[in-house]
Amino acid sequence: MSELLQYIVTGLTTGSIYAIVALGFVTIYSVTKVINLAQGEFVMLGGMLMYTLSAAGLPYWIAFFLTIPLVMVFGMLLERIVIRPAKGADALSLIILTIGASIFIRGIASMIWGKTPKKVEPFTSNDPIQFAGASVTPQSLWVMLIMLVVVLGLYFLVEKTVIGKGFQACSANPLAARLLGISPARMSLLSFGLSAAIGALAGMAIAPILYPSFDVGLMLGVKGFSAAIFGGLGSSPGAVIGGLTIGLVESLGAGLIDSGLKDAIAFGVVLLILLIRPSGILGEKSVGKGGL
Amino acid sequence: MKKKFYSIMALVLSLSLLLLAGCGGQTEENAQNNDEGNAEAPESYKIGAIVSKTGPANALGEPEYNTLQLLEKQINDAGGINGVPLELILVDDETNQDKATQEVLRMINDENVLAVIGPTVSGISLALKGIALDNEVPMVSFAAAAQIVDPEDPATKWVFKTPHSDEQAVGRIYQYLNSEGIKKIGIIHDSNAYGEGGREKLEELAEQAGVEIVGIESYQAKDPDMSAQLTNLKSKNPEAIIVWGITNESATVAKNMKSLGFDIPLIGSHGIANEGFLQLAGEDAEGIVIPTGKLLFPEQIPSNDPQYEVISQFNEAYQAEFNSDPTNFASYAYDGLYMVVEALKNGATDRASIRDYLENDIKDYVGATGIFNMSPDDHLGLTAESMVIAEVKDGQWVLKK
Repeated sequence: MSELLQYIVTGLTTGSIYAIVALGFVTIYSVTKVINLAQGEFVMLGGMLMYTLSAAGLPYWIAFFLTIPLVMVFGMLLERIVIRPAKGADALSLIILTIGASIFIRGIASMIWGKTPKKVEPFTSNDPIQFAGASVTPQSLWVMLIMLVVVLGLYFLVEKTVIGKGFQACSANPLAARLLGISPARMSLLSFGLSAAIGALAGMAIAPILYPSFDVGLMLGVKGFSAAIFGGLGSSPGAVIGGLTIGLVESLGAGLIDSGLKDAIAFGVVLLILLIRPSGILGEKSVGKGGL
Repeated sequence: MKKKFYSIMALVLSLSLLLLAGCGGQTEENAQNNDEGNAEAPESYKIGAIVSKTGPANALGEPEYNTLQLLEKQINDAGGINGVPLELILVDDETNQDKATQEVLRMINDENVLAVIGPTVSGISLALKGIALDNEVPMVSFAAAAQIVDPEDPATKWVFKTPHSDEQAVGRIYQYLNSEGIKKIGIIHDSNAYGEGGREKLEELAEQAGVEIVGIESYQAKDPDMSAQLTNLKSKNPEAIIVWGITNESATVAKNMKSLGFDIPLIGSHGIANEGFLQLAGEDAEGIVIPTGKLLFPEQIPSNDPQYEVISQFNEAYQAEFNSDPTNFASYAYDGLYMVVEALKNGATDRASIRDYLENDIKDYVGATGIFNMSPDDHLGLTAESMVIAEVKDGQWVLKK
C-alpha cells in the first residue's frame, strides 16, 4: 500500500514538471498558434542561468528573480529575430524555425556551460517529508506549488485582465483585433516573453531535482509537448491534466509493470487517447486554425 | 625498473646522436650510424592516434589528448625509440564516427602509420575494427566495451584495448560484496548500451560469486526521479543496491535513495569515477562505493603497489604540464602508446610484428591502468585485481583498503 502511494507521489512530482513545461507551450500556442519547440531551451536556460548567477556569488533569491527577466529577454529576442521576420509563413515553417532556434541555443549553451550537468541548491532544506510510508522532498512540493501558481496566474491573466482579453482576441481573429486597436505583434511578443518566464520558473524549480545540463531541454521539451497535446493544445488546465497523467502513468508503469517499458507505456496511453480524441482531452476542435 | 633502463639507454643514444650531428653529417646518415648497421632505419616511427578531444566525449578524450602530447614530447626529449624519433599523428575525431573513419584511413594509407591508438569511445572503436582488419594495422583502443576485443570476432586479431571492461568492474564489485558478506542485491541501470552491458555481466557472474539478484530495474537518460523503481526494489529486501549508469542519473539514484530512507549500501559503476559525480550528489554521495582504476586518486596509491612508480611519475609530469588531474582516461592513452613503443623498442618495427608483439610479449607489463598479460584469447589482459574500491568520504574519493 505504501508502495502504491510512493508511486503516486513520484508520478505527481514528475507530472508537475511536465505540466509546468507544457504550460509554456500552451501560452504561446493559444495566442500565436505557433508551436514553439524551443520551449525546452527556456527551461534549460532558467536552470543554467540560475546556476551561473548563484555560483557568481549572488544571494539565492536575487539570482532567482534575476533569472526570470533574463530568460524573458531571450524569449522576446526569439520572437523578434526568428518568428517575426517569417510573418505569414505557414505553421510548419514556423515550427521548423523554432527547432532550428532550439538547436542553436543548445549549441551555444554547450559552449558556455560545457557538457557536464550542474548542481543547483534546493529552495528550502531538502530533508524528505514522510507520510503514510511514502516520502517526498520539499523541492517536489515546490514544483507542484509553482505549477499551481502558474496555472492560476494564467487563468487570472487571460480571463480577468485587458492583456488577457487581447490574447484571446488575437487568438480568435488577429485582423479584427487589429481593427479594435490591439496590436497582434505586441501580443505575440508578450506571449513569448511570458512563456519564457514560465520556462525559467520551471527550469529553476526543477534544477535541484534534475541536475540541468545543456541538453536537458530536449527531453523536457518532448515530454512537455506530449503533455500539452494530450491535454488539448491551447488549454492550460489541459496541460496540467496531460502532465500529471503522463507522470503518473510513467511512475505506476515503472513500479507495477516494468521500468524498462515506462516510456513506452506512457506514450502508448497518449497515443490511445489521441486516437479517441484527436484534439486532446480539453482541446477545442479548431486546433490549427486561426492565429497570427 | 625495466623502463628506467630503457630511458637511460635512450638518453645515451640521443647524446651520441647529438655528437654525431656535431660532426656535420646528414640527419639520415646519423640515424643509420646510430642503428648499428641497419641500413633501413627510418627517419621516424609514425603512430596514428585518434581521440575525441571535442564533441560529446570530450571529458574522456581531452586527458587522453593531453597525455599523448606529453608522452610524445617526453619520449623524443629522451632520444626517441632506440634513437629514432617518434612521430605521433594526433587527430581529434570530434566524437564523430565518419570523421574518425576518414582520419584513420588517411593515417593508414597516406601517413603510413605503423599502428593506430585510440579511439576514445566504444561505438567508434567497433566501427574501426573492420578497417584495422582490412588494412592489417594493429589498433589499441581506449574504449570500454568488451566487444572491442571479443575473441570470437575475427577482426579482433588486429585490435587490442587498455581500459577495464565491465567484466573486471563487476568482478571487483562481487569480490567486495563477498568480503562484506552481502548476498542479496538489487540492480538499477541505465537503459543505454553501457547500463545494459553492466546488467548482463552482473547477471552472468552473480551465481559464480554466490550473490542473488532479487530485482532489476532500469531508467532512461535524464529521468528526473527514480523513486518508483527504488521503491519496487526496496520491497524485495536487497542487502545492497547496485546502480549502473553515468554521472547525473547515478546522482539522482543516490539522492532518491536518501529521501526514501534506504539504509543499505549503494554501489556504483566505474562510470561515475569522477569529480563531477561528487559535486552533483553532494552529501547524498557519502558512503557510495565503486570499482575504479587507480588514476582516480594517484596520490593515494601506496608505495608498495607494483604500479606506484609508473603512476606517480606520470601523475607528477601531467600535473606539472597541464595543472589538472590526469583521470583514469589518461592512463588508457598512456598504456596504449607505451605498449606500442615497447614493441618498437624490442625490434617489432612493422605492422605485423607489432601486432604479434602486443599479443604474445605483453606479459606482466606494468602499466598505469593495471598489469597486463595479453594472449591470443585476451586482447585486454587485465584482471579484476587491477581495479580498486573507492569510497566517498567527506566529499572525496578515498581508496578503500
